[in-house]
Amino acid sequence: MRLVINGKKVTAPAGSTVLEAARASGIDIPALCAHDALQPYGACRLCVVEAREQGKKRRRVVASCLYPASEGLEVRTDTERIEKLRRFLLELLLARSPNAPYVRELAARYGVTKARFSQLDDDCVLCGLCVRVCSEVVGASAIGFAERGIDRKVESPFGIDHSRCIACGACTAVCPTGAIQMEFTRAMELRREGGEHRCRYTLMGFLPDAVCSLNYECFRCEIDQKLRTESGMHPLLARALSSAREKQGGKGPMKAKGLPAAKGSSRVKGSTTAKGAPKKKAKPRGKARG
Amino acid sequence: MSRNGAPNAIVAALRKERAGAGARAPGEVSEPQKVQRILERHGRKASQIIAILQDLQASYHYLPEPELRFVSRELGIPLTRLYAIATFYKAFRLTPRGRHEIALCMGTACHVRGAERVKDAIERELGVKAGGTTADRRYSFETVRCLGCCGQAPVMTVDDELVSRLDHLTVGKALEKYK
Repeated sequence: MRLVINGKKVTAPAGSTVLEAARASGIDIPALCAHDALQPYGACRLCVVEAREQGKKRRRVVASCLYPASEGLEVRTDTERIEKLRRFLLELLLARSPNAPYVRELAARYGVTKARFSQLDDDCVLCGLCVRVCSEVVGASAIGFAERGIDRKVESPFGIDHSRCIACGACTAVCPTGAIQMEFTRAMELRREGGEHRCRYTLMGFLPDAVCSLNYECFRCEIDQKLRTESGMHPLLARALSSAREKQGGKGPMKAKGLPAAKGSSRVKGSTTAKGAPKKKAKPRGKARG
Repeated sequence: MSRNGAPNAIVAALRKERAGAGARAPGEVSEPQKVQRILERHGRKASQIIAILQDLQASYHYLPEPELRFVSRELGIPLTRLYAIATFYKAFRLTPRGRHEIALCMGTACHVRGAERVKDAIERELGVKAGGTTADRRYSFETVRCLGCCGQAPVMTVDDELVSRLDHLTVGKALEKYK
């Protein structure tokens, strides 16, 4: 499919979105809630662009992360109208999270340093990345949105029920502002629960059947270090990214499928990260290496 | 947001508090058949979840946690999703309600004929603020906008009955017959 972005001719595979097409051709569109391993969501609206369908007169403002690329589509990402909208959105974000470095930096890049609105101090921008990672990638659905409107927040069911959380830390890793700090606390909770401590990488589907002998002190665990260094990010995200890219390279729009922890072992086969990982119990190590 | 895992003692205490006096332990559904019947009525379809929750609330006056967990298990909908729905819509309640629901009209006509005083009187009588439920779960009290019978102002409904021409001196007595 051929379209024009900022006057540049671009080809994109059928079924891709405008954002994907733009990024593939090196045109940057800011987006906060978009993630390559996740379904487009359209929460932050920072990726707004002007789009004109072939044969149409009107230029519409659309969210490029959700807008399908079509033949002959004319896209502009840098008009005054768009810049103005974007600055306004950034101002709103800045008013909500004035102390989140990520938001400040993003806003500053577009020349927004001060918001004219009354300020909150909530680092969570409700982008939904953590919620979506938990349901689409981890398959645990341990956290979700609660309430509505100005009260909307990310919460576990009934505010206190963490039982579905496997302490994988994917939400912490994906959060752009650092508002979510679940991982460690939940690991502590799992520790106290007693019983058989199953390795969280088993719960994530990376290891066949490992029992944690470190009492969930993952920072001391060799498996944890290894998987994290190998992938350079959270191993679950790395895996989801690579499978999303594979699918995208193949055909049609990517579809991140939720993979339940229990089913994970079948996926481990092809995954490079799991190779060479110990099959039996994780042995206690003295201290974290290096 | 940063509601990170409260210590277990606190969690247990919260559970107890939420379960209320003499209520069931969390996780235990009192009448599974009843919930099953509701599910059957809607073809056990996840897409019918709003209707299912409405029926559930119609029979319990609120959405009890164990029943929500049960529905989540039966239909394979994550509990977070149900919680999101239940907190999103104002019509759903997660806290227990009384056997009798009092809705006092605060519309314009009722207002000029002393609804505010009636409200104070009811609050005094029941010992709860508007929006609350008495400790014995006998009454829930809330205020509404116009009930549509301004000629009889000030009015309230108790369950489905209309009680009209209220005044702050006698409203307490009027409530007594609802056991």
